[in-house]
Amino acid sequence: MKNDNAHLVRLSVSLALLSVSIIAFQLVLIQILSIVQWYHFAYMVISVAMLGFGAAGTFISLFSKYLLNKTDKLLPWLMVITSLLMSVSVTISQTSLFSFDSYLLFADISHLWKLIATYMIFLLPFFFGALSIGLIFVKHVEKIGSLYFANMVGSGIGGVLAVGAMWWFFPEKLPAVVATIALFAGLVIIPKHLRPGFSIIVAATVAALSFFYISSPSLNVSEYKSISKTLNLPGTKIIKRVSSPYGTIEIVSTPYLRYAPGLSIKYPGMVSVNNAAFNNGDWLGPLISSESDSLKYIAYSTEMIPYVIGKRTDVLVLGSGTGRQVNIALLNNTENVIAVEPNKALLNLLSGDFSNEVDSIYNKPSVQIRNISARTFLQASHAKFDVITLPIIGAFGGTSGMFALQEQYLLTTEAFGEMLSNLKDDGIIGITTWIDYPYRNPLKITAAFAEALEQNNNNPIEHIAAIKNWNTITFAIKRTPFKEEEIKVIREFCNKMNFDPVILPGINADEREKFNKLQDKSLYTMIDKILASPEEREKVYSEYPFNIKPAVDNKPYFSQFLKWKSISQLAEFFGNQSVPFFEVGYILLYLTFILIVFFALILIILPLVKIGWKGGNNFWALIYFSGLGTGYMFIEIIFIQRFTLYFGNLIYAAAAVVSLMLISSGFGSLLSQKLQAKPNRIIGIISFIVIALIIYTVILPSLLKTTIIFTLPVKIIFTALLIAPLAFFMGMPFPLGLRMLSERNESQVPWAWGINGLFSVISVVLATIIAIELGFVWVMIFAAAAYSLALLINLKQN
Amino acid sequence: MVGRQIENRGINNQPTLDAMLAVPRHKFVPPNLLERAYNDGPLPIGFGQTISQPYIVAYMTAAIDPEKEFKVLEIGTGSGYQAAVLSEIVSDVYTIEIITELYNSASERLRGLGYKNVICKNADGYYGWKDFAPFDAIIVTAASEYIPPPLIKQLKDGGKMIIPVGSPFLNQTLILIEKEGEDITTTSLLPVRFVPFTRGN
Repeated sequence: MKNDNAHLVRLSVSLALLSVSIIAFQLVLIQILSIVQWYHFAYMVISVAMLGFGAAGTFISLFSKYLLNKTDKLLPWLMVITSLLMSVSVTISQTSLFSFDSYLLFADISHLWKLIATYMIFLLPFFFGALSIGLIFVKHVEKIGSLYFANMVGSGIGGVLAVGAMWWFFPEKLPAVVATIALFAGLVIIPKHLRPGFSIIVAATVAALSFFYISSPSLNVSEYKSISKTLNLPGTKIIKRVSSPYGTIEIVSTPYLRYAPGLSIKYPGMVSVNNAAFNNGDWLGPLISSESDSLKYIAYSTEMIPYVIGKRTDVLVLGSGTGRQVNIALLNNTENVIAVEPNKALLNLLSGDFSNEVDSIYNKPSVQIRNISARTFLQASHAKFDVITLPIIGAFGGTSGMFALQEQYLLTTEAFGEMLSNLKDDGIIGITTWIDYPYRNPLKITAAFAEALEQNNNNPIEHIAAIKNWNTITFAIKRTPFKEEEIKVIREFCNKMNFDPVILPGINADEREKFNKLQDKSLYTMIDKILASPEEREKVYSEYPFNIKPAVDNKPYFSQFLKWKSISQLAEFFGNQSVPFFEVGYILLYLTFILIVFFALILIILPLVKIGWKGGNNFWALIYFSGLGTGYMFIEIIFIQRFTLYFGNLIYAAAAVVSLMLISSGFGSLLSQKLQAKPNRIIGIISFIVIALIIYTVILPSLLKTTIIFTLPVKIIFTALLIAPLAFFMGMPFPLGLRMLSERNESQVPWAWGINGLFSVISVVLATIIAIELGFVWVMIFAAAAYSLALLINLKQN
Repeated sequence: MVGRQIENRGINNQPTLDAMLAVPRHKFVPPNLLERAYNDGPLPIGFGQTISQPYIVAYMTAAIDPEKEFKVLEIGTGSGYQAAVLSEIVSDVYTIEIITELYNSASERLRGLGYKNVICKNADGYYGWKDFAPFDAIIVTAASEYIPPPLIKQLKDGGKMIIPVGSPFLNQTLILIEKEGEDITTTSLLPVRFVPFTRGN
């Protein structure tokens, strides 16, 4: 008995360590792939790789006899292999043979093969890791409550550890660090009689991991990422690189980079050269300084409009980044600037080592920094401003929809409404976008502000002005109607700078085309229709080939424009080859989903060959475990989405929410060990979960909105109270179900475990699809529906 | 290629069509993409750059109304294909490429193919090429989110400048800048069949 207990403890410790390393490895991979490709793309590669969990379930089902006989001997080996594969897979994926470029997937077929090879490479560590976990679960299914507890708690800790480690290690070093934890997991459970022989293996693995740590792979960044294009310029180099959970920040020194969006063609002088900052290889902004360069060109930009109209005292810069907008405010003699920037690592650099390169703006007494997400600041603040500015929307030349799946809470109708209420009476919101073609960004911004203004009972036509040069439009949205004098000033500014008004109270058609003509004049007619009335606007939404309906908090995807029904029309106009480049992210989301479902179906069906097609439990197990996998993952995604906005810090809030959920569920699982595995018990627990979910769907958004102004400790306690009890109960149905199944038919246990894993993976991608097409509320409703299915199937059994 | 991809889409500037016929595009694409050299689309040439779709090259060439005695400046040599097409029509082509590797390969390629009226320089295109200014036309194929003031100065009175705008594999618009004394106007042109996209509804 004592030996049994000791074995269970060792097994649990090993399982927890392995779970730590697998979750941490997943987060590290997302970080690495975000650097070499793009964040959401990284997410999809991982989703496919996570099929390794389902594949492990299938593998155990097919070879259960052999594997279960040799489990004790196999486990240390499997964990050592997992450890090695974690390190090796990253190195191999960065070699030219396998390194793919998502931009070239639709232009060069060889990159499609490289992508598939990358999927396979990353699938392996997950497969071997999951095989270890699965074998432990299946072999000791009677102790599943305790083991699942170790698994959940380990996963929870892994998330937090990985985030912490990102401050200390560069992403390319982390695979070896994480792999060491997997190695320890194996060491804990080496049977005594195997220890002498195994020491050589361990020594060799340690040597290999040390090698991979010291000579970590150089990351093969896409040649289409901003940083790669900048580094192509002669004499350009990275002068500072810091790692953080917000990503890797690089400061690049270059003799050639000049950044002057919205510049007037009339500007006679020089545009100064700037160093620039990048985050995971994506453009963050230039480091501009009036001390070393002449910044006269800034006065010749469309972005100046809020300052041209009147004197400004209090300015709010949302998403201040490298401080360009802060500098513009200070150059216009603003007395108080509040700069809101969530990226702590960037702020540390710009107020520390690189302070001089940005005029020390972040250290000036007139500038206050708020290290929080812009949206959270808006919701919690009651201050009033003369000007609120936002970062420029999109990128020059477009991004090919790489960011279509990015949640942008700063660009929703609700956010614009909050900005309006944070303005003084004569206050103005300044927002600039590149003119894209076919027109999308300017139309969606116009529509969003029209809706936000109407919600405040204002007539949009009296409150919106917009001016354009040849490639940008700057919008100025005023809390109160524009005055005659202000309209006159805008016209004069346009005439002086060769800009054209696009929206202005009392505008006539000719003045829109005085200096910068558009061959396709539908931009004006569409804008006029959007501003005319809600009915006209709705008509435009449904008839326009792109989705220009404003983003809302429930569907915060501002950059998602593609409509499926327009694809044939796009192909006809722009050619088949061009279509994917309208929105690579959106197309890839669906491709990934199809791919995952295809492989998941194979992995679910395959074990039936062995365990039999018929049998009373097959249907029950399929519905029950797929319901649990889907429901749990949907709720996790919803909680991440809701609470990151609540806390204003994506990285920490996500890590904390996920860890809190997993650990609470772990304790639920531990308690379930003491419960009888009967349908009645399961029905009671799931009923509680479903009722709680229905209540949360209704009250959670308003509850969080009301309490967002509370102090951080109060918010943390409140969050724990909301999440922990529900997650505690959510940790019970899975181990109870597995135990119940093992009592009926043991051979189905690995299959059921695999189903749960596969549906967890499918759900991650499916949740994004549901959120984009229907909204986050529906993800919550589907979560409740998934748990209800698991409930119903038990009622039937009962 | 010329008939189907270019003439059929409405480009009828004869010197442009002749030039597109004369320049061997396959000599300007990477060896691994040789079989797609005459396809109706852009192709990657490395360094995040592309060789533009044949139709776009023709469109840009026609848009500046090239004449035999023209002196044209190109910013962003890339593969050298656009410069080669221009050199078939105008008397002098000056082309600037900032990326050294692209400059080396393009200048060697152009020399090898006998384009003697193309002069290449490895430099920052922002400053234009003062020694040979003013130019009858300027083509800015390197991505530029603003128009460098020196280029405006180096454009002849009555001259035209053209800038493609779009992501590497999706050129949506071309900006035509016309200078008449102090008056400078821009026009956003649509190479897509000259038909506004929304009119297709």
